[in-house]
Amino acid sequence: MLKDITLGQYYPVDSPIHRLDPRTKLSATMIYIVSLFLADNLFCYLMAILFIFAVIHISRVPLGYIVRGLRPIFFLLMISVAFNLFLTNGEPVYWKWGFLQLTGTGIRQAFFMALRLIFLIMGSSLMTFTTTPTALTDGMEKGLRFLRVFKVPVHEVAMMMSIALRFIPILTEEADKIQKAQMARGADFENGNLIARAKALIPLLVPLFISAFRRATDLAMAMEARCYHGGDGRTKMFPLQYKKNDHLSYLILFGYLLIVILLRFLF
Amino acid sequence: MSIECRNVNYFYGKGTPSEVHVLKDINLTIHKGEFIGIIGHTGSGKSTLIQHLNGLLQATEGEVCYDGVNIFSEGYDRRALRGHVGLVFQYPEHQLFETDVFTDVCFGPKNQGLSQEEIQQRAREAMDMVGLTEDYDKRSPFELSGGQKRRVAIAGVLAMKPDYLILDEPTAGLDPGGRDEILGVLRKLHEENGITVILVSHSMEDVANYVDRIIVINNGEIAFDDVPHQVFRHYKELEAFGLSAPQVTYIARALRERGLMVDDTVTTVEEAKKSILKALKNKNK
Repeated sequence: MLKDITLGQYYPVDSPIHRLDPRTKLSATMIYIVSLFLADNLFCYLMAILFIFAVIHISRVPLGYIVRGLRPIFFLLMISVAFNLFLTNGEPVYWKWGFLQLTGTGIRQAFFMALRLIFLIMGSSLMTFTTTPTALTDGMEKGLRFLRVFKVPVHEVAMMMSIALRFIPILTEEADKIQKAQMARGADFENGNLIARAKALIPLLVPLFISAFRRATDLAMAMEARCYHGGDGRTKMFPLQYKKNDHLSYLILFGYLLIVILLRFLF
Repeated sequence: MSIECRNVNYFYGKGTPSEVHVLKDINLTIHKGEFIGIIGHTGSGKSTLIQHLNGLLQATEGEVCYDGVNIFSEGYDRRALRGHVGLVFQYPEHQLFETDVFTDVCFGPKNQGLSQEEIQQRAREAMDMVGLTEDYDKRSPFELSGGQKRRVAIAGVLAMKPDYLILDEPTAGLDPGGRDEILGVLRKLHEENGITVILVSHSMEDVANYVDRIIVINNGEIAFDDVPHQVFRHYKELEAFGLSAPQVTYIARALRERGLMVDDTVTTVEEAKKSILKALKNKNK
């Protein structure tokens, strides 16, 4: 069911990667994504693969767990591979039928596209596997603070994000509970045609929405009761601070990016 | 006629770092006509256990049998089973969704594929059982009080005419008046309609006053399974599980310690009253 989705779920172990500052991990993900888009030959990709596997190894998140997280995007992956494979013009042409064709360029492009997508997801999910949602929004709030100069409500956005993230498991659990309660009353969510199934969702969605509103009111009340008034003058119990490992990570990251750029222009 | 658990084991998140062994070797037979209380501390596995009884959860190991047939055997109709074993979840009022009370109560029998006439008849009966008159039919379930909403939700399950009715903490969050109201309804269902009632609770008073068999769950295992008198005799162990005996049991014990020879296994106020009066009479002789 809903609970089986591992994509983006925090994996609670202790590792040097888990202990890094969330800002470091956010930047690392950005840099990794940039490196994937810079890569245009096999050597660059090999470097990127090597790098991510090294980080996965240090993070102590089992590889199987990360691969399982790729399942939801499998369909998307297949579509983009198919598009690249059959719709790319180029040389040499192996097979042609109407507007569909199989070319050497297409095969190469589909292959690299698949690699790029897979490692893009792996890289960004590794961040969420090793960073709690709270730490992540903290990192974003502090990392993007400079945007306040442009009147961007950074704190409010970060607060909304952390509330939204916090409510995902609660609402998933709630949905699961309501679904079971309706099943206990004989509701059938699995059989029937599309229309019957969509209609079967009403007994699930109505109570879920009502409960979301109820929780929102309760939360607003609780925040007000604790004198929440926005981010101005609010201090943190554990302020984010870069440590030795973070500086080292930035060094390694820029070294890695440099190597990818070099590999791109050398070959 | 019975529901039977045979060596039931259940794990949450098997194979992940957060794996929990929730139920451990549960062996249990629930006979028709009983009024059972299941008690246990929060997180003891009692809610997980009852979801096995109507096939909402499948045991990781072991089996659950209804009238001797494994409910997860090939081709077993679990939707029909849920009509026989009615389950009312905690805060059942959170599952109401229709625009009026009567239509909401009709949801269960409608899913059973009955005729329009029978659906309405059953809904009416169920609402009568929980003491909701026709005045409530057209009201929105969302404008009722907490106790009334809960009765609507219970009626929604009763309308399926279950032989067994399982309720998870039916009195949670209700005021004393609402609590007695719900428990009174349950007693009536058991005595007059012959429904087997299984009540999950952590209130010893609720359980002691109404049920005739108590199952104590601790840490996913059945610790005691006996009549209330016998179970509350183990009040020391119960306290170690984060539970307790009814308050009158403690009073009876305290009286006995101070030399008044009352029966210290009493579990209800009524019993305690009788026993204290008897002891006083004997003392004055």
